[in-house]
Amino acid sequence: MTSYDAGFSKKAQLKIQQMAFVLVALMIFFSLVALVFLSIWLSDLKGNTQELKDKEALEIIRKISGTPEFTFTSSSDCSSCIDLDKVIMAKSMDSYQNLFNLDYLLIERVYPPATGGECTRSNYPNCNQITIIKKTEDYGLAPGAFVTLASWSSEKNSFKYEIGRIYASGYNNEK
Amino acid sequence: MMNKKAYEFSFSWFFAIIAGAVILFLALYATTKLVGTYRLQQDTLRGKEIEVLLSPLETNLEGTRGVVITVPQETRISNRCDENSKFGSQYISASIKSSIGKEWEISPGAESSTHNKYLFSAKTTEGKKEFYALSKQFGFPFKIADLIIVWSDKENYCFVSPPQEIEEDIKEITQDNIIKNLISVNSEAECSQDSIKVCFRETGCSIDVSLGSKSVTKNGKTVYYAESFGKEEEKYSLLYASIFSEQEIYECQIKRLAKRASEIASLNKEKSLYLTSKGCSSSPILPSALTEYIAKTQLVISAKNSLELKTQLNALGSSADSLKNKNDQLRCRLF
Repeated sequence: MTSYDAGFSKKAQLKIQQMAFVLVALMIFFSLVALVFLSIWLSDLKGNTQELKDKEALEIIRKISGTPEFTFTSSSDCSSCIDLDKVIMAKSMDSYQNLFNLDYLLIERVYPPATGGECTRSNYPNCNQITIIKKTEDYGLAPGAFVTLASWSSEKNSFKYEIGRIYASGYNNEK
Repeated sequence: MMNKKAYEFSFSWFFAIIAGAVILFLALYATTKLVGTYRLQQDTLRGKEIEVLLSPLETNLEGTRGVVITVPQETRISNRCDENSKFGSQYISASIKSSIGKEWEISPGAESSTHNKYLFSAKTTEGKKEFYALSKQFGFPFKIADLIIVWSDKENYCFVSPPQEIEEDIKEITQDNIIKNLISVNSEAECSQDSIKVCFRETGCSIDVSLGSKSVTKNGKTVYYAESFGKEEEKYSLLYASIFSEQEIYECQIKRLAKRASEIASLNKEKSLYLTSKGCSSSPILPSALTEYIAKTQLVISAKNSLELKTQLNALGSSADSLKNKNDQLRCRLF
């Protein structure tokens, strides 16, 4: 029977083991570095996305009174007013849910103070807020801005003007 | 006798070389992928930033607004219009020129989409440092939307003998020297050689405009426009849009505008019925005129070619005109 015996086999095996450990340690080290780098990068990316989303919501608020669906055109004395009569009609039209890149859009009557809760076609104008868009409960922070609201008053038989506040939150693609 | 002191290429060396090569390959592969992803991220952010920057262009009292979008590196803006869905979609994406590797990525960054913006430009607009955006209100007869017209510092538009309204409009747009690369001259010879010449009286220029037939011919393709209602400066909103955009984009945006017009008309109809019940009557004249108007918008949306689009746009224009006249006679005006 032939037997093969190399005198250095155990030493070589030890060296291979040593190297394998070093390589594994190196791989773990690089993986950890990559993980830290990726998490920082991703948080930065999420931050940028959130920032742009908020910016867009603010721009929409700033310009919403110029949107044809909301702008008051029945009279020429308040072209930067929001037409509340149009808004309540838009609320019941499904198509307007996706026109703006928004998750949430609410108009609140501030002054003179109004009560009655959420506006529907049946209780309008005896109400104090109109939620036009609410795609999710988790819409985050909704920045607000004061606006002038215009609507027809059957008691006065003319248009009346109120102070309102508009709140909006940007559309979140992650959902 | 053989020399037995030759260099011993042990297994450990062999193993180290193979493992080293694998590690280096993985590191290079990961770096390349990361650089690619980083470029995509930057392109996507630039696209979204441009889209957000275009939001303040919505007009209120003013009929026209202009802004300059300054970019730190050479950038390409891609404009894609999709006429499907309720309001259609506007897709904007960007690509930044890189000094490392390929100058431009084959596909730009991820597209950001909106449904309430109407961007009129070439499919791809390349700018060194600046992009110019002009917003013009489009009323038909009520305000439908703001048209955003975009060009870059690489394009010089030279309007030759335009009508007085356009000449004055250009003067006003460029008076504060923010919006550049847009001039109005009396003869073609006054335009610089590299400029895009837009002729209103002559033919054979880069872009030929016929005010009589309300058409714009560019690269052998003719598109048609309709005059906008409202202030004098808004009258030629669609003419500007057709000059600065490609045929495909222009016609798609016209159909999207017709969709928006149809929805706004429905909204006005609902408002009219509501106000009538509250003592502010516009019934029955206005709801019936609005129903006719909505039917005409559907014909524009379903137009098969440029000529059909022209015919249907003119028919919608007549309907809009009659709607405006009826509305103006009411005590309780809708718009």
